[in-house]
Amino acid sequence: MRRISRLRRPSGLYSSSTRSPVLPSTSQCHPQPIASQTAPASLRGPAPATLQNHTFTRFYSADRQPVPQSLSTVTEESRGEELGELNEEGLEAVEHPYAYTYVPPPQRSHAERLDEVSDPSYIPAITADGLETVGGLGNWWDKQGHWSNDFVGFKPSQKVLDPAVIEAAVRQAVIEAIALRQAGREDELVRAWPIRADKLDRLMEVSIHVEEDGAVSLTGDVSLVLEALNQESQPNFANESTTDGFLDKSVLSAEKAQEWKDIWGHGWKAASLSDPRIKFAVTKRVFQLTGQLVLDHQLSSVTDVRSLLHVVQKPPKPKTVTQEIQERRQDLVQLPNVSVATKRITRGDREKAVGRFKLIEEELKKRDLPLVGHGFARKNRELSQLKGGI
Amino acid sequence: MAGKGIRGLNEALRSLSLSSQTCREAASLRIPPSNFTRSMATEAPLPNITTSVNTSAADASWRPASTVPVTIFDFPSFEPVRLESWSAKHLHVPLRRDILHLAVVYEGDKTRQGTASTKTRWEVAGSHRKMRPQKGTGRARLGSRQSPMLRGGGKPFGPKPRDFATRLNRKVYDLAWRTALSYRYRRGELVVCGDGALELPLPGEFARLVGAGELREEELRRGFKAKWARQVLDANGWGRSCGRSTFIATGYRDNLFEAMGEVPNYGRALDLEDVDVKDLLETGRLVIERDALLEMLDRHQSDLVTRVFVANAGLPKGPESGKVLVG
Repeated sequence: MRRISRLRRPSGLYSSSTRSPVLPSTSQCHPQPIASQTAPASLRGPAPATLQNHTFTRFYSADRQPVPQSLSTVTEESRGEELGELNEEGLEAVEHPYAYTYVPPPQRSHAERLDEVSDPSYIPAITADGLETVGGLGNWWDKQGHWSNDFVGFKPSQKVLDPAVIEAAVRQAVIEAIALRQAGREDELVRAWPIRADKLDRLMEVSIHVEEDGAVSLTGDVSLVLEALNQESQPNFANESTTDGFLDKSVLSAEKAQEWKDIWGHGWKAASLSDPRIKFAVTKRVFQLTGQLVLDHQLSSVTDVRSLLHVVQKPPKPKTVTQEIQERRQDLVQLPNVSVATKRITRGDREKAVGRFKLIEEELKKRDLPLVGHGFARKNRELSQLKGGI
Repeated sequence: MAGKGIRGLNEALRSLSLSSQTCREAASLRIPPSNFTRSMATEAPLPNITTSVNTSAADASWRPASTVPVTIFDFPSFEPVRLESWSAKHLHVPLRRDILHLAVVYEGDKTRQGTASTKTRWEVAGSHRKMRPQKGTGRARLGSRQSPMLRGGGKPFGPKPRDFATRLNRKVYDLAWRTALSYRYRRGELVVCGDGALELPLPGEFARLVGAGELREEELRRGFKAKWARQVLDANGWGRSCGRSTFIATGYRDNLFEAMGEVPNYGRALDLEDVDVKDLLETGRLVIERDALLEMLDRHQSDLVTRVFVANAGLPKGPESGKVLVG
């Protein structure tokens, strides 16, 4: 029986940059994308530390590849030099997008002691009015301008819910996976692929033919698709200040997707996904583009594109009954003898409806009683403890 | 010729199988009922309430898979990197709420401290002198000042330290573990990350600031980790708005555990040794290291593996999990 004590304990904060236990064993050395050119490799911490670059957007596997020798051996001296240069540049350095993404508080200054004040006209204040306030550092990072680079994960920040857009993303994933397979680039099927928004229209023009025997073939500019999947060709988005603009471009707009959908028809949906490598590549790409994750237990039901679409296009479950009624059961809302309230109608609501609550409020105030709730009595304490509260 | 030969073989095989024999033929093969005993009751024909199972339909209808796919994710990017096959006996056990209830109650009982203690009249300190004469005062009879009816006296039948632990069969408890994990798996709330991958990498910028001595205050460093953890969890849909997450690692991971300690509203991080069935059922999802999950299953499969010595060491000792399918 294995014992945990034998398991490798994770090394410290920074050595984890070299540790990549989930990498496929066939990982190859790729030249670093633009990321490495802007920040020296030694400045980077553990794996997703390159997130500090704006160029880096939801693209992980290649970044985890071993760093080329020429880039990884940036010495402390060169690092110091660069910092020095930044300081010399002065104002320009402040505008540098990578140097000051997290702004630390200024150095502490100490006021003179009362008995050592050199200014003879100094009179100590008696009240706090008009004095500078000195706050704690509790929410330093939440204040405006102190934190400018958010974490970006593999999935997009917003889930795509439009069925047509999802269909376009699935088609893109299928085309890319089949193109890689036909080009013999099997290793890349399990990796993360770059998002090339600029070539999306050309990619959509590629057509998929499914033969009677299930064979799938692509016609169109397949070489362009393959070129876009080259990890070196990650475009430079350094000029973009936010990642949201990038997100909008990673998938088609709803109108365009609808147009394309009508052109494609349904024939391509018969393309088989029974090969586990292709299925993995397609579901991974769909997750990257739309944020729709095919759950593990649903994987066995995905055999072709049609079944995949059935899984990922399913609308999300409404969170509340009210939401469900308003979105899907409009017939109930239309009924003349039924009224739908967004929340439970309590005794207080009834009093308010007939205008009696004002009187009650006055009487409660007179007696110094709480207007809402039960005063000292807390709500369910176990519930808040379960949610991580006190 | 070949077709005829195969047909002949088929016929021979069919004649061997039991199902091919007609009832009459089968009846002739049975041992005839004995005539020595006879029921005293009036014998009525059996009601026709049972239906025979159509064997071919039964074969086709339900053939559960012996393995289930598990995606291994990268942490913290949430990128799927690999697909593995795990045993259905580990991660696809049917839900049994009763067994989960038994396990949670068993754990609750076991963790009760049971240190409540009161003093009986014999343990309360003080003199046992009679407070007042037995008779003649006009008041009630009274012995010593430790009497339970007096203030400061002993407590009759009060709590004494004791063990509240109850018993649960090991196999039931182990099944509860796998039931809880299977429940999470089927709901898509089991996120398996790579071996030992559950460390929260911080931005390189942070390391530079700490190295340059710009973040001297502990508060700043903790605040930074807390904010970073919040961002990671929110970006992956694991945060407060998504029902919190439980992170389970095989050991203490400095950054992750420290950061999660700062943001209890976003989830909790647990060492494998501290996990029990109730923890598996609590928050919105489990984010767990692959080796932690394997170890967990290895420890809780007493109902699957035999303890009997098997001479052939080549035989699998239990259900096998963690075989790579893709990646």
